[in-house]
Amino acid sequence: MNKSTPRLLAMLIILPMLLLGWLGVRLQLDQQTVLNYQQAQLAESQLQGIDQQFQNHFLLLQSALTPQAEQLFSETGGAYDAVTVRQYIQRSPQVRQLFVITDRGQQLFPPVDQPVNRAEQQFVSQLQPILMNPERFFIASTADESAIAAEAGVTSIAADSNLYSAPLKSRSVVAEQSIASSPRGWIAWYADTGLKHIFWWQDPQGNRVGFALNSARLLSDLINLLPDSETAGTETVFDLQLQDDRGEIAYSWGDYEYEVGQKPLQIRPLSHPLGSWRLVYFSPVSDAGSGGWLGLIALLAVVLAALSGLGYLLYREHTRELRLAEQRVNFVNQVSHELKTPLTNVRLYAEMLQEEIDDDEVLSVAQRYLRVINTEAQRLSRLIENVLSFSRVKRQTNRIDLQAGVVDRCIDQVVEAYAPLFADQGITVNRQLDAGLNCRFDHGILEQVLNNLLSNCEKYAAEGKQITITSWQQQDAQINSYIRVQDNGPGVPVDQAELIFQPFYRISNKLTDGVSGTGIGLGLARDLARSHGGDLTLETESTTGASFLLWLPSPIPVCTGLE
Amino acid sequence: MNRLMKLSRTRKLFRNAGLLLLGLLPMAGQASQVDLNINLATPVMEAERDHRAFIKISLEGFEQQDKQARIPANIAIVLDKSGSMSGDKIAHAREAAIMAIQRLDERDTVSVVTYDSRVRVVVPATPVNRKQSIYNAIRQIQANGNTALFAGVSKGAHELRTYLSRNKVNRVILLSDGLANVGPQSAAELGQLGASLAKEGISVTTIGLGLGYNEDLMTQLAGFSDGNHAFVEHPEDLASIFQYEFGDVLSVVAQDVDIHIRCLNGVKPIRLLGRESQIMGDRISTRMNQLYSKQEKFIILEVEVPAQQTDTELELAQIDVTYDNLYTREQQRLSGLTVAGFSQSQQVVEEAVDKAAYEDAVEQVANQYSREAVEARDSGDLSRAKKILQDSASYLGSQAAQISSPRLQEQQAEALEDAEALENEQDWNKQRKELKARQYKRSNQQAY
Repeated sequence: MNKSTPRLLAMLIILPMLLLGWLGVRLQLDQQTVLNYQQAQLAESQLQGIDQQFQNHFLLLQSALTPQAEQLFSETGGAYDAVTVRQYIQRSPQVRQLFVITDRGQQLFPPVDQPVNRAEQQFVSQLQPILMNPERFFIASTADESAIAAEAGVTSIAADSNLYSAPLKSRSVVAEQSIASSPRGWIAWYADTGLKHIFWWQDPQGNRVGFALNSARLLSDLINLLPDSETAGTETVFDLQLQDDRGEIAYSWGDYEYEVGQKPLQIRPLSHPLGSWRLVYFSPVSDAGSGGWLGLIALLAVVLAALSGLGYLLYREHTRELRLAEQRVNFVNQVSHELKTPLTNVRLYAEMLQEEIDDDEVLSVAQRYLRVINTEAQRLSRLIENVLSFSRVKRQTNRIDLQAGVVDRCIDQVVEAYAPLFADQGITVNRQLDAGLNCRFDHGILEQVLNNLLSNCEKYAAEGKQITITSWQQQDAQINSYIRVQDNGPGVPVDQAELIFQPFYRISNKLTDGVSGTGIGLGLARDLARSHGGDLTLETESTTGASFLLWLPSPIPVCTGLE
Repeated sequence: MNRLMKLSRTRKLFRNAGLLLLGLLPMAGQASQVDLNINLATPVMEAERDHRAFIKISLEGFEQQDKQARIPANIAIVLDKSGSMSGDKIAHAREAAIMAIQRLDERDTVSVVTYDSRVRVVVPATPVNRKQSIYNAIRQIQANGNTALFAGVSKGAHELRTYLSRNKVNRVILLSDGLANVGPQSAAELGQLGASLAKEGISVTTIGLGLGYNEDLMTQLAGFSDGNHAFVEHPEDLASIFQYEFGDVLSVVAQDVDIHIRCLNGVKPIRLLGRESQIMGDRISTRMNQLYSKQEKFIILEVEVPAQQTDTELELAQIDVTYDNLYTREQQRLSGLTVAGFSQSQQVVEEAVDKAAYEDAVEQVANQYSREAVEARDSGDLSRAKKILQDSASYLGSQAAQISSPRLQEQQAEALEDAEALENEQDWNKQRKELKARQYKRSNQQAY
């Protein structure tokens, strides 16, 4: 009991803590998921915005290049003479080179019949895949011509899916068409291990004018569309990267330092013609939730402290109670001890006096008085014995003292002692004893149990006038002695069959009210029987009165020859 | 020789007089006019045989009449603040930038961009009227991180565009001490960017600090945009380099110089030494982004001249130049013609040699050798690299003797030193940077 109390209290603290902790963690994780989702949504919309910005950039480029193409056409009268075109190339920061092919795939610029410079030579050789298969690039434009008018914007899903296969096919060509009065569109193709862009426009004579963009300049312009880390703000908790077709970081901004190997929160492939480029968004994994975790931990700590405090108070209260109870028991014990010695003397001298007087038949009144004194003294001594045994059992200092003897003889002795009392009340004891084997048992215990049972009969079943004591023995590995004490009294209600064995419990009804008693008798009797290895039970199947069965096991008799 | 020079000059005047005088009449005076000089290294050639001839076409900016009346500058300073810059380097860079900005005034605009792995616009493009706040922003710069050079230059150029004008000197000044490792990092890509910026009238000056930067990338970026390039080994020297650079910027008198050359009479162009150029048949074109006050910039054209009869003259090439005069704010045109004479007399030929033009031509040829030597060394062919430099030295030596030029003799010694230094593996990194910077300086006639 003393050890289990702190354990119990600890459980009382730990269990709610665990429950609370689990719930808290669940809640926190849920919140985290929601937060992550929101963050991802936010990131996605930001990336989408950037993609849109890039799209707008291409639209702007398109609307800037188209009039330039128109001007080139009108200035040269559709002949695209080298001098004018070269001058244009030299002036245009965005355009690296330019080509013109007729609808039959003939190359007008760079000129085939005039000397060309090195850059143009390189450009032509780089362009071979496009110049060799002009049909491909024309088919794409003419076939779609009717559908295009409705299609706004530069991107289309079909173009995207085409483009993604481009790196595999290497140098494959994707043509795409967008809003225009005259056909025009963007081509993205791979050359020199990089994505290159061509804007093409069809002049009224059916020639295609292709502007090869300066890819470094294009990237530079895209970078300039993006904020620098200063304007992005110092409180930004992200790192946004623009990754090129090789997966290398072309530009990054934001103030967050992501760790190596950290998974990005969001990745968005960019739309055509920047396909195979992507935006990658890094942000701290559980930054937003750390406050929540802290709160949870604080809450748990507070609850733990409160529960611990409460537990400690309870424990202190409990131990004080225990100590007080123990002190009380000790006190009763002490007192009982103190009472025992004078009482023994009283009994001794009362008995001696009775014997003296017994010889002298004159003093029958005195004899009667003496018997009363003797009986009461015996009762008192039983009471004290009970109290002492009780405390011994409770403190587990009870010792079994096995002595050889015969159970029936012991029963007889006890019944004899009660004889005067029963005689007064007119109770007859009917003995059917059949436990005559010599065996080892604790005489004290047997006497005390019987004393208690008979005392109860005397107290509560005196009306029944009849007590039957039956005893028998069984012998197997050990000798089991059984003693049944049956009265004709009112009996024990079935629902209280177990309660009556609990210490200090007394059936409260008209019958028992007014009858003195400590309430420890039956409980003590059972404890004693159990400490002996046996048991004391109330036999519920008995029809009238109460019937108690005592079972006392005893080891194999040491000396059967004594009989 | 005098006769020939006069001839070329008079023709130039004759051809342009009408146009020029008309254009200049309302202006203060003809002083604000770029000088075009066309010199043949060998104005008289031996008759009856083929020749290789060098034509020096030089442009000299007119003098700024009044320091106060200079052209406004639009400058973006792009500073590398990657981890390698920490300590002394960044401190000197900050001070150099601040000291350089001190030379500017409210006519000018400046922006400061820093980059590590990310880019920060520390001072967005702003007129230089509250210098103190600009200095404060610069003093905040701390070094750490990687090197996003491409993005840094992009943002710097972007800031320039806020006040971009053909009537200003638009320049990005890039300082870097490390290899670009975020974003595009090849010399070709940066060169492409430089070429694109040049078309907008933006030059990029690149200053390489220490021994860690990529000199190819830095010279390409500067070369394609006709900016300056300098190798600064010690951070203490940054301040003076910035001073030179700003001095250059503040003395620009003309911009957007286009040079077109047409070879005449069967003369074939072989190569244009020094600058990027386009050669198409008999036509050559090249450009310079700007001309500085009282500074000569030139190109050397090597041509093949077919054999001629003695005592004849031949028009070799027609040169047309257009440029934006920043003072008059209009485009101006110059043109000229170069004529060679042919003689049987060795003496006449030798006497006619234009020593200055000859020296410049030889220097450019040697410079070309030097480039080839670096390429050979890069490909691991040490002995060939050494051989090239030795050839260069002997070439310089023979030419020096021929025209008795101490300047070419010095360069011969220099080439021999370079040849020796090639073998030193340890110092090669530094040596290469020095060589690259020197080559760049020679081919672009950089003032510092």
